[in-house]
Amino acid sequence: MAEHRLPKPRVEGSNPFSRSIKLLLYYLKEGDRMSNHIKTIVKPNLKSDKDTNCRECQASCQSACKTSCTVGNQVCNK
Amino acid sequence: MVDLQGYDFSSHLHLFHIKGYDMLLDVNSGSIHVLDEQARSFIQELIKADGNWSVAHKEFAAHYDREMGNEVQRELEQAYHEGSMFSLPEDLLSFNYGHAVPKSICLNIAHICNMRCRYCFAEQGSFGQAREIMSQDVARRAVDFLITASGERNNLELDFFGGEPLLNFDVVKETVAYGRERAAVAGKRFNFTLTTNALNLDEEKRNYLIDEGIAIIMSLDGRPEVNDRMRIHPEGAGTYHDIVSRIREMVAMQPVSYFVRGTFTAENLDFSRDFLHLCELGFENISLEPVTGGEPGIALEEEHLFQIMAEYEELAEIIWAREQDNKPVNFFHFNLELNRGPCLPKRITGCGAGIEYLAVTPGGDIYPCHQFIGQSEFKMGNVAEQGLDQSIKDRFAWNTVPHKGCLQCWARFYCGGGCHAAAFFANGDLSKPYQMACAMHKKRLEAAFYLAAKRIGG
Ligand code: SF4
Ligand code: SF4
Repeated sequence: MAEHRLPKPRVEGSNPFSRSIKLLLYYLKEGDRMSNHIKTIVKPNLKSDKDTNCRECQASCQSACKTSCTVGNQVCNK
Repeated sequence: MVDLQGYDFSSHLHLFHIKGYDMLLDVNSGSIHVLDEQARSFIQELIKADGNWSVAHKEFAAHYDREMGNEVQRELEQAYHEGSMFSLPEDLLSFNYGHAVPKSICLNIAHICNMRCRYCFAEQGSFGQAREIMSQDVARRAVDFLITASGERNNLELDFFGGEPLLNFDVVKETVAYGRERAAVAGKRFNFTLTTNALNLDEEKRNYLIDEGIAIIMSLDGRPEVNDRMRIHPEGAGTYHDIVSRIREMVAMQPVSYFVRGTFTAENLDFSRDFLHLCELGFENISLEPVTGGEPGIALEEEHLFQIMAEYEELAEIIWAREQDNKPVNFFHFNLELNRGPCLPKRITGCGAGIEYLAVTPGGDIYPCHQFIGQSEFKMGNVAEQGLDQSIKDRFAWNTVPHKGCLQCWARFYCGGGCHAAAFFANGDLSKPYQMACAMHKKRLEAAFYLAAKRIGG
């Protein structure tokens, strides 16, 4: 996973001058963030290839939860 | 330029703001992104413009530098090429339960209980049925049933549930021994869990559960006054002081896996305080679940949602603060498997009730899950016979995400289409998700995504 970079600060207000100053300060402090508006924290992970659907993983209600379907919590056994 | 004309943004992207973070879930790939202000704003314009980049740029340029819009577009396109943005749905109707077979049972080993919890969906253990305990014979047949019915599946699960399973402890022990023996012959493996109110969890039973490596789920609602309003002795006194020491002793023995599980109701909408209380008692695996049903005054209503949402955010904050403090705590419903989660077919078929997961009553009757017990239209068979009612199986097998009108909902791959029982009891229809549960589930997901962002970015 790429190194995390903070989202840029919210630069509110309509005054372009103050906006540019704030952004400039931000870039000075954080380094070059010109290409970092979107930080991916979880990569694509929903899989459905031929090796899936083996059904060896835990049934969702067979755990601490007996009242809501929480498939997203289960761990793939493969 | 990536062509987005006609892309169904509202079904395939979820853009949300939580506690200072702008976040985006790319629903079909499961990718999650943290956005800065420009990216959020640009994506909003793109959505408003129905995927027309030039219109989005024009609107964006009214507030920001045009060059900034180009930067955002470059990053969006890069993410698209990586498969983490604007991804398309697969043909979900082509997924089904496949060769799924029963592999998991909830064994209602005792339809009796030594508590009288006010919100109990099991009607004090009896599920509206006779107060009885399961015989050794029925328990053995249930094990045999599962071993045969599970065909090629190797990992089997058996949860001792009730009522209160410790009131039939001899049969629990016998069943574990019998299950292990039969599984070994069949080349399979049992995972045992036991759900208890902890009142009878004495030293002998604790030692047994540890020696046998049984995972344990113990009920406690949180603060003494909250627990004692709901979880009471038959004569009406609260149970907090009787159970808390037992649960602590059990946890100190380090079971293979444990959860302290509480229920929140309309009477403790400030349940983050109960969570905190459970943390302060030293528990590290906690689940707090919304009450299902319940009498007026206890039941959760739509007017409570606002506060419930705020409490989930507060819970995330507590968890984060504890992690900073090196005292991590695992909250079941935020504990999303973001990278090694289940495959898509599993996600869209949901909990597996009636197909892979079954519940067995003390008399051996089989129901699709613990919540359907006693609903005669859902009785699927009995462990004394092999085979299950095909028409009931078919109803559950059909009831998957693409058939439930969930295809437009961004949470569809995390909730599996929601709880069949909640849909049935709230709306009289297995395929009409219970909207309150949906709203809470979505909030829990957002909070879990937020925690993931915090963990990566600080
Ligand atoms: S059950 Fe509810 S939360 Fe789940 S996909 Fe369907 S609508 Fe969404
Ligand atoms: S129907 Fe609901 S309660 Fe029953 S197993 Fe599925 S998610 Fe759990």
